Amino acid sequence: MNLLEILNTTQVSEICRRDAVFTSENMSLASVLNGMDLNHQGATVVLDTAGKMAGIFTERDVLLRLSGLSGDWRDQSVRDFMTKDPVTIAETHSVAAALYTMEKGNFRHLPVVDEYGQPSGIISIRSILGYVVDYFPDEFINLPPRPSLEAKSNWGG
Amino acid sequence: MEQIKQTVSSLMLSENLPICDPETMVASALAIMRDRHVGCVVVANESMVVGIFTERDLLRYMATHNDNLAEIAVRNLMTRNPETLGPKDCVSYAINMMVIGGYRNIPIVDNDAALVGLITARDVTEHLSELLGGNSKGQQAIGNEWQDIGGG
Repeated sequence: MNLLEILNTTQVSEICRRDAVFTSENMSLASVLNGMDLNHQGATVVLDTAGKMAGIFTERDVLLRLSGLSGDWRDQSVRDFMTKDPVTIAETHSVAAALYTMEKGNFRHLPVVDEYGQPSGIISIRSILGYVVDYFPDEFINLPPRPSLEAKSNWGG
Repeated sequence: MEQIKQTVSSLMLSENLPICDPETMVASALAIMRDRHVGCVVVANESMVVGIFTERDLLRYMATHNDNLAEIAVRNLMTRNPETLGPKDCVSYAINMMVIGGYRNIPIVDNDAALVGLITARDVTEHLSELLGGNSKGQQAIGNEWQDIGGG
């Protein structure tokens, strides 16, 4: 299969990050930032008190909504700084559909939802690129660490 | 896979680059990132790349500090000596670096190590998305579900 066929036939459920830590809407910004840092997440899905998806909070929100604040914002709740009702992608949709949605909306992360509309993970640009690399090891894994180290002839040692 | 045999220069941002010098205050660097809709600023001394300051660096700092960002020089928070590529290098190298190193932004430098461009994970995925075409299954699959109401 070529790249296009692969992205069209692979489901989001196969590559999304299921161990992503979700966040309660009442959680303080300090806790959320610490969690994103420790868990290496660029975004976190925010849940309301009933466990349903309320929004998403991303690194971009830190730049756009927090970095200009003065005073002590650290104890404020993430609910007031998240993007509410984010665009989502179903687990059963193709990676191509996720890519199209991300490109169209300028998103780097999309919450993934199951058949009941409940959040079940996050898919990111990095997940998609990682999948492409894994699928075409000859194109990527066998690359030398830097282009300057590429073999200049068929002979090597 | 011919789609990724292109050179980095065919996808990179080459004009109006987000760049600042190491003594620039973080608040000013953030203004560049906001205004140009990018996730990083390349830090350079007279166009020679010495570091990169990203949204991730900001998050890490703000997770533990509450200082005035207008009083801290970007050199204190930047990642020093970032990985770079040349404009004639293949896009596959950029993708590999992004996946293995976890980078979303790679400065592109010429033979004299001067900044000439920036390639981002978004540039790469936009390219992949273009390859899927306007009538791809990707577009058909989401059909009526598409809502332009924000997100991450």
